Amino acid sequence: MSQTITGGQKELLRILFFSRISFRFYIIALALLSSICGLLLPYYQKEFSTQLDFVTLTYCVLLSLVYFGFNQWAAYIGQSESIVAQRKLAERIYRHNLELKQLVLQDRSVGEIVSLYTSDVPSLTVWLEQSMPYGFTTLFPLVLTPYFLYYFYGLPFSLSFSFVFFLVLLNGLMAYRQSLFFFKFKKLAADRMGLVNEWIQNIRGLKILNWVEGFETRIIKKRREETNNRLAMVTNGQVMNSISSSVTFWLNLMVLMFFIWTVPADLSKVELIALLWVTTVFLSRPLRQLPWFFTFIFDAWTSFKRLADFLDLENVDEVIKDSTCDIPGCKALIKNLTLRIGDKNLLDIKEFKILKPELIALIGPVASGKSLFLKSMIKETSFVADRFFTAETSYVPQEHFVMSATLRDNVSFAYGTDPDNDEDVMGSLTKAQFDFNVDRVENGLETVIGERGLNLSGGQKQRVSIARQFQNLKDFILLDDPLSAVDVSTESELIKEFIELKNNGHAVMLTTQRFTALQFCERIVYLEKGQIVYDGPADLFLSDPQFQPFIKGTF
Amino acid sequence: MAFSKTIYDTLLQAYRPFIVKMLLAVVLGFLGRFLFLSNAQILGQFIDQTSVITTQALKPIVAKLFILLVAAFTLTLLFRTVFSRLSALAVSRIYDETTYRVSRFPVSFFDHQPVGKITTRFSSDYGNIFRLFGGPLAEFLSILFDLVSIVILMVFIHPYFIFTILFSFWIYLSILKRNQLRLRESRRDLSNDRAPSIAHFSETVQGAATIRLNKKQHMFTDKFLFFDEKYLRSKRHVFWNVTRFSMELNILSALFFALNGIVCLYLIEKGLIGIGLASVILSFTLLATNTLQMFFEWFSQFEEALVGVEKLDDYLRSEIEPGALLPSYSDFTTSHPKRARGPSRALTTVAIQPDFHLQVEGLHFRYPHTLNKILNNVSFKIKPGEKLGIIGRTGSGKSTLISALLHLYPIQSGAMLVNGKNELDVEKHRALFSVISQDQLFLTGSIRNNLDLFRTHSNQQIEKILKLVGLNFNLQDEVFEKGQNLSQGEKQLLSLARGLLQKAEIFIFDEATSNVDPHAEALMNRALKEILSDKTQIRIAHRLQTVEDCHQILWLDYGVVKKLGPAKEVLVAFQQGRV
Repeated sequence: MSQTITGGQKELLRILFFSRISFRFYIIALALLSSICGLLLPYYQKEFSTQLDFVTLTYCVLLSLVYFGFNQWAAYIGQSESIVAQRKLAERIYRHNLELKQLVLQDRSVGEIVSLYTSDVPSLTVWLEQSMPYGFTTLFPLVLTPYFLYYFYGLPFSLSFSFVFFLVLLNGLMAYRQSLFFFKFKKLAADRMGLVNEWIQNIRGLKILNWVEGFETRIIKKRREETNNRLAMVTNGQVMNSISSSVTFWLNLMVLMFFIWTVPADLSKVELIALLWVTTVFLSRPLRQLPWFFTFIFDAWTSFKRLADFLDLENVDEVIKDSTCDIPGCKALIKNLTLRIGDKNLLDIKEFKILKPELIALIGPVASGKSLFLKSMIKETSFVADRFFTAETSYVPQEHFVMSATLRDNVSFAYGTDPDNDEDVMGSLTKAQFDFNVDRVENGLETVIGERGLNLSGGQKQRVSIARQFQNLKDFILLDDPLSAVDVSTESELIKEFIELKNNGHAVMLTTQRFTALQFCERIVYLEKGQIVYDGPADLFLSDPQFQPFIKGTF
Repeated sequence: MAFSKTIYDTLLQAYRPFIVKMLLAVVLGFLGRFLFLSNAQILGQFIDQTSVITTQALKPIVAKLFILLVAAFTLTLLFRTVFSRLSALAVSRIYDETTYRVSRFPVSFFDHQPVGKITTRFSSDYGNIFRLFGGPLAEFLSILFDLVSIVILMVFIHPYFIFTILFSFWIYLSILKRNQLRLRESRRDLSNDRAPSIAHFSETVQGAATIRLNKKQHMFTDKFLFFDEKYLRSKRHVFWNVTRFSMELNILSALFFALNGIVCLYLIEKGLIGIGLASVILSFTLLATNTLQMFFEWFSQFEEALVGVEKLDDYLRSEIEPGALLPSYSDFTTSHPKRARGPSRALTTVAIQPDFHLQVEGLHFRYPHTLNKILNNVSFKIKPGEKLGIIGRTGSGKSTLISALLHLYPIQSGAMLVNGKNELDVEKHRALFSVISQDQLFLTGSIRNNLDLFRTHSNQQIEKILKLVGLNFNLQDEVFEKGQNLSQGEKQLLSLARGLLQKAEIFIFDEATSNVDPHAEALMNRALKEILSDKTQIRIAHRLQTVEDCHQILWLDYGVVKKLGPAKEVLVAFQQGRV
């Protein structure tokens, strides 16, 4: 299989490595400078040991200062660049998410998409924050040290480079193994958190059912599995660390042995000291960093893939041959609309018209395509139609949406709404049957709702969603199952409001499973397997023997 | 920042089973690191004591070093692996114990805490603890061993170095103190600024279609960039503070280096040490700076982990609901009551068949932390096999009554007797009831799991019950999250099946909303009248036909019993009252 770079991958690489390229070069330059200073240190230390004067001591002190300073500086640029990249990536995926139609995202859960932002973006920028500075502050010493050892001690390159190669290989392999554990760990932790979420969200139900203890056992079983994986991971990591934190001493010993047994050479005291210096002090930091360098590279790889996959998702737009309608007062006109996904025909609408203000119920068995039909009318699906026209449309989705903001902002759908319009906002809430007393909302419009505020019930959120559309009513109003979580009296009040809307010249179309609502609708559209089977007056439908099994529920 | 005292007790309880082994590992680990570092010292001493170094002279010392290294490596490896593994096991005990307690927290706790806030303790807080107390704790200790060994070895070379060490240590502490406050503050800001951007992102994901349709993309993007920018600014601030601290440490290390250099010069002049040991001192000096920096990096991470421990500890010590008992295998000692070990001794008193299955007397109820009384002096009695209907308009207290009956919230006053007895063990009490409604618990998984999660019944038994309630499901059929692929009616019937399997005594039917398809409605009506015909029932009605065939009806109005009596009588009064 040929590996081609996708557009998403290209974009990520561009943001990470090729934008603000001068800063990338600063990191490299600083790492190189720091390594050179680091190697000059043992040289001057050697001088100091022979001369024993203050001047060389001062050189040594200054070099140590500069060596650490450059190192630190390279790291800081890496960190600061990672923040710049994080901002770009976050904005990119945020905008992309706003563009993508629901159908494209259907097999991804909300949590999955959110984790792109919360965990994948920071984890990918680790390539800038850690890998790049670490990489170069490790790479240069590892390359320069063999040169140093060759020029000052005559240690052959073959020996020193094969040692370096061996070290890099060993660290790379162990880090790879570590990343496999880590990958598994992420999966297990996500599984466990799935259970924990289910546990907390359903705690009331679990208590009522007396399933608490059993459910705990389930969580803890998962926790054990995760711990066991973690133990293997910790063991591998500790072996890796034990090696990397002692390798300098082995290196020192190895060079000594080389000069005793392989190529006997008499080392002077000063040379012994400088050798000790290079191996134990200068190399200690790069060698400790080496396993982490690899670990970060591998860990970020999954995030790279996930982000690129997400950015590669594309909308398939609807295809409309003719989008006009010259009938005055026309709310919707559709001819030959089809929606296919894979080889499945999900919608096949021959003709559908709304030419005057009406209250229409869209009904049909589960999975008959009701929601898809509504979503198609707001162009959220990739349908193909000969003719497609809708008037300006308001839409209330089945999955209600509230934002973390005051109730006022939620209804007016703008942050920081002026309280001057409160009368208007209250009007919409009242029409949507949201009542401060019954709904136990103590701070009125100031109440902050959403993830970081008061937990509203599903029914309450639904009514807030409806109220929001009351603020911005368009000619054509679509409501996906607006009665799903309301009680009988609220239901009839809401229907009264819908009738009122119709009387004011709007066309209102809603899906419902509650058939008491049908008698108030003048027109019924009955869908089966994506096709309109009935479209006509409500009373004819309700009395038609053909539909009795559906109405009576013996369908 | 002082941590609450109980966290040390919690950590101690977590480590208790492993403490001896771990202490032993610590001793070995210290020895290992000490041997590693003494390598340099041995070499330095050798250089000073030998006048002319030949390969011949090096041989024994290299052999010695080799043996030393092998020993040191083995000890370190042993320490690191054993210690890390045991430590990981120990902290995971905190997780389990917290789980046991949180499960038994009062329901009101969950009403007031966003789900995310609770789950964070099990995800990121626990994640932090587990990550750090696994491997890094061993690393942290290794660094500490290094520091102690360096000090010992330096002083061993010449006692004068104690002065430069103490002097540098004093400066180090003052630098640490200044930076620690700054870092803590910026880290706290960082964690505070994180949540808003995440919450906003997740909202947007859910509402993307609505945002698009209302053409609010611009507004939302601006808001997101505002939150994200704030978070990233805090992050940059943390990075900068860490860098600044490292820079200060670098300067200190250069100073320390210079001081030790001067002392070395002086000692060489006096002939007290040679250049070998002098260079060992200087090596150690730079090594110590590296090590100190890592020490601090880990130190601040451990502080964060301790904040995590504190958060779990907070849950470990919070009150559980009255009448709840921790499982017998719970191992931590906190102030909570625990179930006795071994099979529960069933009291073998002869059951006297009381006149009433359920007796409620003078029940007063208000939700915790509120002033509004929801139930006011409610009393009723149900004989075995009798059916009680409860009616009243929205907000009259019908659903609250169920919560009170199940002890989901504490009642203010009044008595509730089942079979003439007040069951104190809240789990046993709840086992007597079964609630049938569409808002019941539905888990992601198979139908079988949803009926019998803990596999106490055979497949045949469950299939039989499914058939009985009229559901045409296979045991392996998938149930989606929160039962999203089930109709409201199917949910009701499944919860009925569950109650039948668990052999509940009193069935509570809660007609919470009216959104049930006609087919399921028909099945449910049949179930109430036929399958549960001989069972004691409480029916909470939205539609009056649901309670027409009850023996008595209780009419609730603003939490007060408006009327209690035979079905017809109450229904007539209710309908008249509504007109």
